[in-house]
Amino acid sequence: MNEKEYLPLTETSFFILLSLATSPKHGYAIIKEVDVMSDQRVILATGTLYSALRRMLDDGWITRVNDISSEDGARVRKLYRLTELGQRILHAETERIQKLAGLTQLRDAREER
Amino acid sequence: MRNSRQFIRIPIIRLYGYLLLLYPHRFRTEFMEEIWEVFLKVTLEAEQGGALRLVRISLRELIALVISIFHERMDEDRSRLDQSITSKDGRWSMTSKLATISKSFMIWIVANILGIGAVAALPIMFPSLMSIDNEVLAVFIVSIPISLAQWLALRTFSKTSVLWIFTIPVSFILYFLIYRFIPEGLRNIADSESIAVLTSINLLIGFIIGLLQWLILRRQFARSALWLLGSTAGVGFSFWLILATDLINQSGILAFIVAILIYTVTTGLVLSWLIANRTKSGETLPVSS
Repeated sequence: MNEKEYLPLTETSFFILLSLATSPKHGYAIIKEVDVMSDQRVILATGTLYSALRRMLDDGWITRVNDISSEDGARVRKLYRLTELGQRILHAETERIQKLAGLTQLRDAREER
Repeated sequence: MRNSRQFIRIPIIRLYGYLLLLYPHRFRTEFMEEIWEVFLKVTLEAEQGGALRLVRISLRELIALVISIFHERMDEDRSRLDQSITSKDGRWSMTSKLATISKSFMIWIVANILGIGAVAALPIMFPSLMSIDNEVLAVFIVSIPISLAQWLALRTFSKTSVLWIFTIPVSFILYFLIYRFIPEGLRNIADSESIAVLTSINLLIGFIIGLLQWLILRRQFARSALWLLGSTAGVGFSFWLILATDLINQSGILAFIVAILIYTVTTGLVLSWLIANRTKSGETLPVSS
């Protein structure tokens, strides 16, 4: 599957993938990370997050793994991790945004001249 | 102060828990525990930030949850549609089912809003209504347009008894009767202006309305008892919310609109679920593997 077929991403999807780029995370950690990364502009509600995660799991952008550190006899927490397809999609979206930003800068520079 | 926050948080948690049950089965099995855990953390954190922050975050969580349930239900139906297309014995048209569910939800919302609009317009059209001294009779008359609008809406997708028109008016009469039976001494003990008492009254009204309507719905829908929960929660929670946030004193009209919308959306979601899982009429969804 060509990753460009999924572009452009919604802001929510982009931030979720971005939050998972550094390490696998559980749901609450994703909400906190997106909150910080977006300067509290994108505040994910729990229902919104899990609907997005379900779609990403179905489409193979992310995968679910057990959090080994949480196996203390209690319930094993689930972590979400980017798959190779997810990484390619995030990379392609980042490139697309950079190209757009580049075009804007180019236009601004021309106007200044 | 902490007690007041607990007073807000606990019913919200309960409502959230009940609403979670409206997710499709597959989604519930996979994510419900996690969602519940995250939601508890989010509200606990919000509680530290004060009552107003707690109400704001809880409202956002509840609205997002309702939207998410709606999306998941739609997505589930879409995937069932895919299965029925690929299945050799997929005789049943999923497209038309999906359209019926969405349409019925919208019709229900519009009908309720029109019904409420008609109630608001009644005193303008018939000014003599304002001079009715009997409280019971006045409530009986003005609640007819709402149940009439609901019956007309229901009739478009289900064979519903005409008795539905009397469910809301009769509910109010039953409520007044129950109120009369409460000994005066007991009535005087309770603070009739307190949020807890007013919410309890509205929960009771919602329950009575739900009960009478359930008697009609149970002939057509499996698991129709869910309607009782939807009606009770819809009326009770909507009034609790406008009282707890003091919206009722800040803007009566806005409070009224918010209450109606919450009741309408809650019952609309339950109705959509009942239609999607209808089995008593013999019309069933294809079983997903």
